[in-house]
Amino acid sequence: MYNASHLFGFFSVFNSDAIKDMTLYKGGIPAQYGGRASSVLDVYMKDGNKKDYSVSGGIGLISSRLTVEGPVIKDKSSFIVSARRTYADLIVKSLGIEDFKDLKLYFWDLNAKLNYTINQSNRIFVSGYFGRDFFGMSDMAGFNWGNATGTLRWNHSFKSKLFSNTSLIFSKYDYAFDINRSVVKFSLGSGIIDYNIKQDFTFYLNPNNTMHFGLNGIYHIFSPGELVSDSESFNNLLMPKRYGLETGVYFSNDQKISEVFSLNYGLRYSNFTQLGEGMVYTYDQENKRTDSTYYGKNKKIIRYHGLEPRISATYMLNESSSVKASYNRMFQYMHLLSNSTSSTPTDLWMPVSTFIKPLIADQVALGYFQNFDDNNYEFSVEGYFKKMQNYVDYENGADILLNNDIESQMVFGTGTSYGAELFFKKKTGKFTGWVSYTLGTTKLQFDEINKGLAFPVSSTWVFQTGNAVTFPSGKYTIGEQVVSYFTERNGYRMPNYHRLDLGATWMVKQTEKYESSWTFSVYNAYNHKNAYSISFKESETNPGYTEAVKLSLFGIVPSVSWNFKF
Amino acid sequence: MNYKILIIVLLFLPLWGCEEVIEMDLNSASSKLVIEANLAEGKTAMAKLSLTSNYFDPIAPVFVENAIITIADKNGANEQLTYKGNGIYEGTLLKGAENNMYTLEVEYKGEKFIANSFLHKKIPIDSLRTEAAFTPPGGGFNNGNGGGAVARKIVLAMFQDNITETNFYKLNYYRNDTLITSAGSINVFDDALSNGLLMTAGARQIAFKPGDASKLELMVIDKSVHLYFSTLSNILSSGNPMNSSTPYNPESNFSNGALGYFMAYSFDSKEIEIK
Repeated sequence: MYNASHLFGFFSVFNSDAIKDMTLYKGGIPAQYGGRASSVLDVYMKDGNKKDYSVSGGIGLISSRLTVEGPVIKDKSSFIVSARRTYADLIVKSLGIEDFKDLKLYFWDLNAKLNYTINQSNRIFVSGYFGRDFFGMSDMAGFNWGNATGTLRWNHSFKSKLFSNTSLIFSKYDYAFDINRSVVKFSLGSGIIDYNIKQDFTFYLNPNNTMHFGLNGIYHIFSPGELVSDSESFNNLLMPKRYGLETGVYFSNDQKISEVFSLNYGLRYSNFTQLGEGMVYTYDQENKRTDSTYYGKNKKIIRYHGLEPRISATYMLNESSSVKASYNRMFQYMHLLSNSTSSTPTDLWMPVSTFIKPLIADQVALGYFQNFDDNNYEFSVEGYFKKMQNYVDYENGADILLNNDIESQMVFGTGTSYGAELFFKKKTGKFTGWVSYTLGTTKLQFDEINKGLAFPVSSTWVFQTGNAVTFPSGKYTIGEQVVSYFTERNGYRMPNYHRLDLGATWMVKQTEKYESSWTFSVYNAYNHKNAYSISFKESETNPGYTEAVKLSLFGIVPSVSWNFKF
Repeated sequence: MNYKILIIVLLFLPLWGCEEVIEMDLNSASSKLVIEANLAEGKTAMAKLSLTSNYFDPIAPVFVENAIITIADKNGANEQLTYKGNGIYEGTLLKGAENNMYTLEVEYKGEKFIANSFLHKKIPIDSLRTEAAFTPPGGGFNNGNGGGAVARKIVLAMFQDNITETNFYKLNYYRNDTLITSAGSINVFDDALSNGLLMTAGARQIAFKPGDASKLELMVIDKSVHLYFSTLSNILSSGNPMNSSTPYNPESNFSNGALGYFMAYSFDSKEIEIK
């Protein structure tokens, strides 16, 4: 999934109605996961009800959703289809900002899965995800973008100790951008296609050792962009595609050394070959092309490879407390180039090449975990340190769109990040909840889903320190326009972000066959005007002065939806 | 409780978001020299010097009066510009000529700031044509020209691009002989997508009323000036939250950290009366 959010990061692509379980690995990432240098979120989709048909869903002010599941052949095969559609643009339109009057902003997505149990030791799964976002400002410009993935998986068990999963995965991300600007209509498109084959084995050697091993290969096709116009005044611009073959083999073992001490250790060997066809250029100091080499179809252009050791250890101090430590090294053979501070769909994935080396991340993490009061309360504190090599940035004014010579404008560096996370959770009783404090640069959060109680009430409070941003330290005038003067990149911080969300579900009717409930929720309950952006410009009301203007989106948003299940 | 009433109440609760002016504490940087210098084909040089000020000070340029500015061409012909007041310095002898390289040197407080700019061959405008302006409801993109009752027009220039070289252009608009300098009026482009073609260029956001005299000036500029104006235009549009690239200072062609530009250019203009 190359773009894991909808509506510029406002919604997750993961539909909670279709998800059975998910595991987040922040540190101590097992060797079966590769290809990325950050945390791993492993998501398991629901299999679908094997016994009965059921329909559930909700109709709300902002979005509606519907899930249908049931058996295809009773006890042998089942399916689930879950779909969502939002109409958030109706809300944004009501914000009353002149520029947003003709805004179009919505997404739909669909999750589907079919499984078939051939016999005791063979099962087949087919699953897919399709989603698309739409964004437009009047008829001047329009964006649409989305992911499509399809997976065919065969699960086989050899006797009772060795299990195999063979997966064929197709994944596609693309965006198209239509613009009516200065005379002509343009349409710009870009995307990535992956063909992935994966073989994973799990071997339960004995109660103290569980081994994972396997291999995978991915053929990537990167389409950096094509620009097509309807005018004879412009030549169409097609950026050559880039091709790559990424492979990996791994082995890991979960070993229980004693009652109180366990280890997970493993090794991954990964490999990326940039393949033709393609042209490779060399550049001089002024970024001018000096030479070029042509590589034919499927000819090797350059190859990178490396060993990725992974180890994590858990030591139980006593029945209710433990410490965990981990180290891992990860290689990432593609870089995400982004020229903006928010998550926009035009972020460009760039594979390694003769100029761009793989991103290498080394991370150590140490944590302390404590449960209190018969496991009613959970507390943890974790610290991490991460060092990254070959981190990519680009020169000021570099154009990442449709630039065939983008590599000449890149700069490479190392990065470090470190931080600590405190987490406290009350797990049982009438009042449950959790508090998390993260000091660092990233944050991930899930709202838990309430179920079963007659009138569950939930609330989430989010607080984040503002991100580092660049603000002006002076100004000057050029051709009667006021221009900001900048002295330091990322020298300021955005204001802190906080908001409270409240939710309550009212179960109107609940029988074995039928359920009907109403969910009332309030987003940003105390209407805190969080800064989405701060811009600096000449005052419209007070000419001759400059001012800082804060734009806040989404004040208090009450919402109601009717949920059903039968 | 009758929940239906509750839903009706919730449905009609106002949903809002807003823009508000806020107080910000910004650092004050030491003043920097800002240079705007032009040399047009067939004309003498003009330069305007000012200094940066603190961000929340009133907008009143701080002019620089005591600089020494010299312009020279590649053959060694040179002249010192004379101060005319309001930060403006002008030349009297040396006129811009096609296919010549010019150097502008500014000496201020013991420091030297130098920029080079090449004066390229003129590209003539073949013709101008008009199109109906795009009018969104409410008139958001109409450059403050009033309501949508009058059918307004945009003006486009057509010209033959030179196939043998990469050309960089700047297009200036005049309304009734006054240069339009409002937000979004910086219009620079190149022929990367149109090399050797009959090009049509124009600004969709600049609209004219019937009776207006519209003049377009097509300037051929060099690569470094194009980079300066395209980065400047990028910074000026960064108030738009959808265009949130990390802000930076435009890429000046002056040495030694001066802000601004030196532009040598050739130009051709055509005028049309809007009907």
